[in-house]
Amino acid sequence: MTKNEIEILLVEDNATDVELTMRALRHDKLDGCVQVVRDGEEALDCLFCRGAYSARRFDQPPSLVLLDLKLPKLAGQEVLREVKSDPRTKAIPVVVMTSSVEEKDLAQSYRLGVNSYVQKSVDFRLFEERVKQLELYWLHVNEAPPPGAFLME
Amino acid sequence: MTEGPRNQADTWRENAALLNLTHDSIFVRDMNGRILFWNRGAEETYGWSRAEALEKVVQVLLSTEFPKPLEQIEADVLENGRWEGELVHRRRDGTHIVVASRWALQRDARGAPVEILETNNDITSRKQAEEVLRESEERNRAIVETAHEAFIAMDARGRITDWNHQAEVTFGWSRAEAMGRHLVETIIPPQYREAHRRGLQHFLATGQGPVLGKRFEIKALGRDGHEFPVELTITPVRVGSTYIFNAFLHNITVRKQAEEVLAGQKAALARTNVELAAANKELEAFTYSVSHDLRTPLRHIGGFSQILEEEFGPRMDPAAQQSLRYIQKGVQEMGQLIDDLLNLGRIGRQTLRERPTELNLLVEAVLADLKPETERRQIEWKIGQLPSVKCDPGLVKLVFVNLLSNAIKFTRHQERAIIEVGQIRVKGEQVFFVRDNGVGFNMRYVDKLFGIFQRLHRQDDFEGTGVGLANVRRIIHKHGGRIWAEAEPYKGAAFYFTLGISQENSLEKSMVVGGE
Repeated sequence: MTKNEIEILLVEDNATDVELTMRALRHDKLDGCVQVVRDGEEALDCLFCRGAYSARRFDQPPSLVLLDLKLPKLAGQEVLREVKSDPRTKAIPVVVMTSSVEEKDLAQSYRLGVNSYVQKSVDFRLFEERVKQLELYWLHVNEAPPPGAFLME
Repeated sequence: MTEGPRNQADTWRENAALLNLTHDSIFVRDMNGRILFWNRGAEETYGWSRAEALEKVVQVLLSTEFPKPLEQIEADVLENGRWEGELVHRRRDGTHIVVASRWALQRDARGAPVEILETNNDITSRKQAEEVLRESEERNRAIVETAHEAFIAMDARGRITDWNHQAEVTFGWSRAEAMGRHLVETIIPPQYREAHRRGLQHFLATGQGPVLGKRFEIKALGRDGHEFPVELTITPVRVGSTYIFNAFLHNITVRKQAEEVLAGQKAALARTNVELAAANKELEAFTYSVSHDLRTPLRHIGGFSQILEEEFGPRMDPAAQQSLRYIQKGVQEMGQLIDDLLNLGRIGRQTLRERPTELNLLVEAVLADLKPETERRQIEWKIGQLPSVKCDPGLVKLVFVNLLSNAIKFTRHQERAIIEVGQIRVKGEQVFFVRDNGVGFNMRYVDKLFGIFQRLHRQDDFEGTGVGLANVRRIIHKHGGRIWAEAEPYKGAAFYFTLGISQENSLEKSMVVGGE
């Protein structure tokens, strides 16, 4: 296991999408470190170390959050807002991965501080390639934020 | 001639020094009109010297115009001993003057009439001033009488003192009937009379009246008892120690009705706007949902069919593999349809961001974008001189992208494709066109050309979703322009469009553009 218990937090309510995303990730043998949460509320519990996730620690956040926008209970935009407005979670890289490229979704996500925005392509090969690129970039190319980045200022 | 009058004349002569002091012209004449005495005032007034005037008959010398026959005046004088009236005299220089004339009869010791003393006061300038005033009054009266507004004047006791023709028409009372009546009882409906009286009292007591000098609306009462709205202004005019009130007013029934109709239409329009806004919002929610939710199952179909192909393809027979490819092709087409549909909605919602745009530069940019589609093709481009126009460059670029990629697509089977872009003037209107020598189409189906999801070619021959031209038309309409097409099968097609009224100056032209 790497330094983080959870490498990727996949926030996705659709089981088939979870399956497709996991298939895209499987090739890199990383799936053991992928945590899947099925709605916005659970995503926040996980990221804010509360409820079922109270054993988690703020200074060991996931290396990457793949966030769908259309989610039950709490929309992806709300999750993004909470994460990016709290000093303890603000530094976590969040990538919105969603079906649409509606201008207002894009604009709002960037305003809220998203790190990247990727459309889930209808073409599976393209989809697969994008997921792999994201994983490669955020987990291997990018220098992750140090633990000090997750403390209260 | 008797001795008496001479003596009397002597008496006048004796008094001459005194009588010469006055500016009034004074003369004495006998009962036949012969002048016996003529003072300095008379000399000055008439221009005749005393020597010239003496012994002349006065009405001959002065060409006197009498207000009634001289005999009657003399009869009055004999009866009353005096007469007063206005005469017109001619002076020596031929000009006429009006005089206020006072005659006094002198009798001799026996009581017989002997002579008449005339004192004449020149009132010509006063008469002229009066005439001017009278003419001015007549003019004013004519203005008031011919006015389209009713004019009513009222004194401080509330009685009508003036009532013009339009007032007669408006209220049904003739001037003769209305004059002297109480205004309140004549034109104010009973329920407002008390307030009106109080208002008048208040003004007379304080000099303040909130409605005075302003334009306002009230209900008025016609002679036949019907009430109607009038618009009026009341102006108080101070006359000596009291006031008169002038009111101009007119019946606004028709305007009121029009206003009501307009208010109704406004309300209806506001309702429609609310409904429209709601419909728009719903449509937006719908597109948003389409954009997210319709793609998801499509991705799943596409994803798993590809996984199937990759993982089990080698073990499948060729028919099964072919079926999988059909599924994938369907997924791609569906994906394209969704994208096009969303674009159409987006264009509909988008507000125009118009600015001056060099169309030649725009077309160049489009051709650069379309490079991948024109590679390995023989295309002769004829790009004409295009103007700079005010339009939304992003949207108009889409127009050219669609029209030019259509032209590229439908000339595919041409050995030598010719594609033209240019402008012409049709009845003074600027018209742009994109023309090709491609496969064309039958004009019988031209109505379907710009309809959404309408296609004039089989998918196997020419791919497409049938959204492109619908988009083009939407953009053109957003600019207030028109688009139409001409074509012939296997000869080619031409698309013409205008960019709307903002390009045109004259009303006539704009009506041509708007009159699709």
